[in-house]
Amino acid sequence: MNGFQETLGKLPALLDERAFLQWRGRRFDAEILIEADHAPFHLRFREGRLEDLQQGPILMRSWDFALRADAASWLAHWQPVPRPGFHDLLAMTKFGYLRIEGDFYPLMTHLQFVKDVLALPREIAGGAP
Amino acid sequence: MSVELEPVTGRYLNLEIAGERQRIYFEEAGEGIPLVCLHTAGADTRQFRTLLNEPDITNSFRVIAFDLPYHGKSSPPAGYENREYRLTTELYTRTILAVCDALTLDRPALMGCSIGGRIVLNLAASHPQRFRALIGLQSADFQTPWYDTDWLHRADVHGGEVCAALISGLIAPGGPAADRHETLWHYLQSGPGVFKGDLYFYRVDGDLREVVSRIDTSRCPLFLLTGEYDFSCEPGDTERTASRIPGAQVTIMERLGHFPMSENPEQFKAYLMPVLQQIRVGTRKSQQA
Repeated sequence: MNGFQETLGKLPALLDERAFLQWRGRRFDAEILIEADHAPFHLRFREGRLEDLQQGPILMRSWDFALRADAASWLAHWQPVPRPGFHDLLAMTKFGYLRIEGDFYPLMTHLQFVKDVLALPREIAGGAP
Repeated sequence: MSVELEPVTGRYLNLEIAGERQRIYFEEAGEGIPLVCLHTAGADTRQFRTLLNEPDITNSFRVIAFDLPYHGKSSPPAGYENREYRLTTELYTRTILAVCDALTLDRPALMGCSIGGRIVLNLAASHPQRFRALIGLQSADFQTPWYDTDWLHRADVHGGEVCAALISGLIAPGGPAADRHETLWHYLQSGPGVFKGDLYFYRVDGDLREVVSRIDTSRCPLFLLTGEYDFSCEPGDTERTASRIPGAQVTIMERLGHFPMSENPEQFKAYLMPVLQQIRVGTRKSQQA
């Protein structure tokens, strides 16, 4: 869990360094709930920037869609070259490592953007973007 | 300035398939044993451009790749604007046989990927006499769906973007970035509803679990190659399919996903060349007989 939280905490800075990725998400305004071992984290995106990241639970905080996995699965997803089944969010859903819930519309209209942002921690360990 | 002219030629076939005129684009390179290549759903012949430019292959194979109607540079038939495109098992089979006939190919080898890998199984079951060998890439008689195809064609979601984003995870990580992203570009360019229409064959009409038991590999050798990172056609799907086909030869390919020929051509070549060598040997033996 500590490794997960530490890595997730670096996400705003990782995205800040990538102007073109932010530009690709310039119409993405959404609140994502990311859960690891049932611990909630709220990520608020505005115009492609990760404006706010807070650990929950936060009373009566709403979200657009949620991505729920255990911490070990998130860390496997963030390996520089993840093993098969952990290399993609939808692969993780097919194999039961990840559940996606909520409004799929903001996710599907910006699916590659969301995938690319949530794969950024791979670069911390020296992985390819 | 360095200029390179590829040895690939492209032409158009005009022919009738299932009662409709079609204008079909195909590319070819090389001489020798004809090897017909079938692209994946929602893509086109560009997936095979590296193979078409590979002297180790084209020095003994005439490699031919064609765009299905609606795909790449093949046109949709007249009247497409009035109906939803849906590829069926019968139409797909008739299209392949019609193109082979139109090009007067003598029992070609044929290699198809994804939906092309699925139809290979139908060709093996129903038309083995037409081919000297069949190669299914990412091939299985059935696969468990993993998303709702309705997202692929709706006016309020960009079709190219969502198609590419969905299939991006089927590409293995770690391959050459330029090749991985060129593979995505084919999906970014696909026409509206074409990927979804192809998946009608994959998801609805093309369940071949009852068909594969009819395959007799003594009539036509069958090779099945699947990338380890493909979670649409999982290695287990291919292995389950092959377990019901005596004589089918299975290879699980490391560091490859759903698009081996375009996402990492060098890695794929290492797996393809031994198969092509077997086809060469088989052809030589039948000529001697």
